[in-house]
Amino acid sequence: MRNRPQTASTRLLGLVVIAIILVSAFLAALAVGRVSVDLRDVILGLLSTGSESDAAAIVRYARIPRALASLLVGACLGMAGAVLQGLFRNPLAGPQTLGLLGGAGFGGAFAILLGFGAVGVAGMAFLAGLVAIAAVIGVARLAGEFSVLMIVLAGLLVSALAGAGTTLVQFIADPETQLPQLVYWLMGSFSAVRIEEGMALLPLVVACGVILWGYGLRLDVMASGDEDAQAIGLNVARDRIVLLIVVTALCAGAVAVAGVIGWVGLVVPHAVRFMLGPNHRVLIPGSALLGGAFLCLVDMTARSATVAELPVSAITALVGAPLFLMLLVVHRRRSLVGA
Amino acid sequence: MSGSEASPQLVAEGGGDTTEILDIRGISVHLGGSVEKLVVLPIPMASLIIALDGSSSRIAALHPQAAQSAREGLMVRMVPEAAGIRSDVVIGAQFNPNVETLLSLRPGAVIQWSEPEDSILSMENAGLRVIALQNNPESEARNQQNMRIVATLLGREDRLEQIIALHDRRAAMLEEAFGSLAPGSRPKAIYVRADNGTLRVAGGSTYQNFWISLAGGRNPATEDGLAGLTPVSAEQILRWDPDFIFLSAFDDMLPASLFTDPVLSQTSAARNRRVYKMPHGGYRWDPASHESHLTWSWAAQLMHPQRSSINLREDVRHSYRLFYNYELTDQDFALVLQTTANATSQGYAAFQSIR
Repeated sequence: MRNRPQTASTRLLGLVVIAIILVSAFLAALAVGRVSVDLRDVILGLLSTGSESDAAAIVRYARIPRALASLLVGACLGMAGAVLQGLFRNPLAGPQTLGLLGGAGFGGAFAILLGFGAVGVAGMAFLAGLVAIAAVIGVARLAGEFSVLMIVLAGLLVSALAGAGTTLVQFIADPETQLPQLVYWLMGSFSAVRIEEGMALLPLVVACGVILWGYGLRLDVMASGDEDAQAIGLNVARDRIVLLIVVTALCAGAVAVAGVIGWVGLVVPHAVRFMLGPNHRVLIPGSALLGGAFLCLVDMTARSATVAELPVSAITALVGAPLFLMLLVVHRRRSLVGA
Repeated sequence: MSGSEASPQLVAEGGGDTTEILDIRGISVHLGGSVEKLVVLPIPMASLIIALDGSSSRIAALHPQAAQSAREGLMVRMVPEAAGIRSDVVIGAQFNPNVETLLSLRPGAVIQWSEPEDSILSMENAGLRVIALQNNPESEARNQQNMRIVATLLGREDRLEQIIALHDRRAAMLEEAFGSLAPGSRPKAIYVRADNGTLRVAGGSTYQNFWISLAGGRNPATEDGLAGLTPVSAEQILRWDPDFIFLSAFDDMLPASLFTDPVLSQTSAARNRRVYKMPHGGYRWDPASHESHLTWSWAAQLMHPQRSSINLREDVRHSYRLFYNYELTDQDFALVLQTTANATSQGYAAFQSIR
C-alpha cells in the first residue's frame, strides 16, 4: 500500500495523536459500563488503593483490569501484524492469516482441556504458535519458492489444520464445564481476566516492542526484498527467525489472556501505515498504540452495549472488515490520482 | 400441574409380546417386549430410571457425565452398584454415540436427546431402537413429558404417578402461595453458572427461570430479554442487583467467593448473604429431573421463609425413601444440601437442624 510522504516531525506528531487516542480510549473504558459511575468515582477508582467507594471499586476491579488487558492485547496483535506484513512483504499477512492465532488458539484450547492454569495455557499457546509459524515457513519452502502466494497458501493450510485440532478439542471437551468456556474463549473475551494476568503482558509488550523497534530499520530493508537485505550484509534468515519468535510470543501472550481475536493484527497496521507511512520504527509503536486503543474500545462495547456480553471477535470483525474495505478503496483512489 | 402440554400419546402394549413407545419426535418405536437392557445418554435420566425401577440393573451403560454426577453426589452411596455401570458409550464428551460399543452391548433400547438429529440417525441406521427425549426441558410440563416416556418404556407408570403426584402437589401448593404475587412483592433472583470466571445467567426458556418464578421470585435476566444460559458481566449482575443468587451445582463457584468479590459483593444478595450453592442429591438440582419438586421447595423456603410451611428435610427424606429406598443420615443431608458451602448464607441454618 503506497502512502503519503511523511517527514520525521509529522510522523512524531502522528504518534502523539495516536497516544492521545489511546489514553482517551482507556479513560472512556473506565467511565462506561452497565452501571453508571460518576467522574469522581472514576478518578477515585483509578487512584485509590483499597478504601474506595462501591462505585470506585467497580472501576478499579471490574473495568481497569479489562481496560489494561485489552489495551495490552491490542498492542501485542497490532505489533505482530505490522511485523508480519513487513516480514512477508504481504499486505494480507497477519497473525490470523498466517495460522499463528489458529495455532496458538489450538494450544490454549488443548491446555484448557487438560485443566491447565493461566501459565500452562500461555505456555501451550506459545509452543503451538511457534509450531504453526514454523510449519507455514516449512510448507512455503517445501513448495520451492518462498513467495507471498505460497506463504498465504501455507497459512491457510496451517490454519485449517489448527482449526481441525481445535474442533477435536471442542468435541472431547466436557459439555457442562469445559465446552462453554472453550467456545467463549475461542471467540475472544476479557470477561474472566484478572489484573495480574493482564499486567503479565506488560513486560512482554515492552520487551518485544523494544526488540522489534530495534529491528525496525532491518525490517524496512527486508520489506524491499531479501536480495536488497542480503546486499547490505543482513543475515536475513537469522533476523527472520528472531522476529518470528518475538511475534509468536506476542500472539501467544494475547491468546493466553483473551482467546482468539481476529482482525486487529490485519487492520490496525494498515491504518497506521496509511496515516504515518511504512517506516517500521514508526509503524511498530504506532500499531501498538492504535491496536491498544482499538481493542480497549471494542471490549468496552462488548461489555456495555447489551445486557449480554458480546464476543470480542464478532465486534472486531464487524468493525474491522468495513474499515479494511475503506482503506483499500482510499488506497485505490490515491493510486489512481498518483498515476 | 399437568404434563399433557403438547404431549404425544404414549402407547404401552406388552405383557412380554410387543411394546410400542411414541417418543418426543412423535415416532413410534416398536420394542420386542419389555426392555431389560438400556443405554441412557441424557445425563439426568439414569437417575430417573434408578428412581422408577428401584435399582440400576437395567442400565447397561450411561453417559460419562452421569457417572461423574453419581460419584460427586449421593447416588453411589444410595445405590452402590451404580458405580459399576460402564460409561464408554459416547465418542468425545458430548452426546455422539459410539455405535460399535452400543451394538456390542445389544441394548433393548437407547435413550437419547432428540437433538442433534444426527446422533439419533447413526444409531437407527445401525439397527438400534432409539427413544428420543426433549433436550433440556424448560418447563415442568416438558419435564413430565420426558419422564412419562421413560416410565412407559420401563413399564413403571405406577411409580411415575407417585413422582408426578409429588410434583403436582408441590407445584399447586407453590402456585397457590405465590402465583398471585405482584412483581413488586417477588424478590429478584438469578441463577448463575461460572465457567472459569465467565459468568452465565439463566434467562427465558430455561428450567431455572421456571422454578425461580414458581418459587415466588422474578428473574431480571428474563425481564431484560435474555434467553438460555447467556454470558454477562459482573457489572450487569450488579445493575440487576438481585436479592437472591443461586449458584450452579455444575461448577466450583461458592457463596464465599461472591461475598468477597469486590463487585458482586455489592449486590443486595451478597450484602444480605442470600447467595446459595445448589444442592446435589441423586442428581444436581439445577435442571429438570424427578427431584425438581425438591428444588422448588428449597428455593421457595429460601426466598419466602415466612410464607413457606415446607419442611424441606422431611420432604427430602420422604422423596429419597420413595425414589431410592434409602434412609438419609445427617451426613447425607449435609452433602445433598451443601451445608458446608452454604454455612454462612442467610437462613440456611433452618436446613441444618437435626430433626
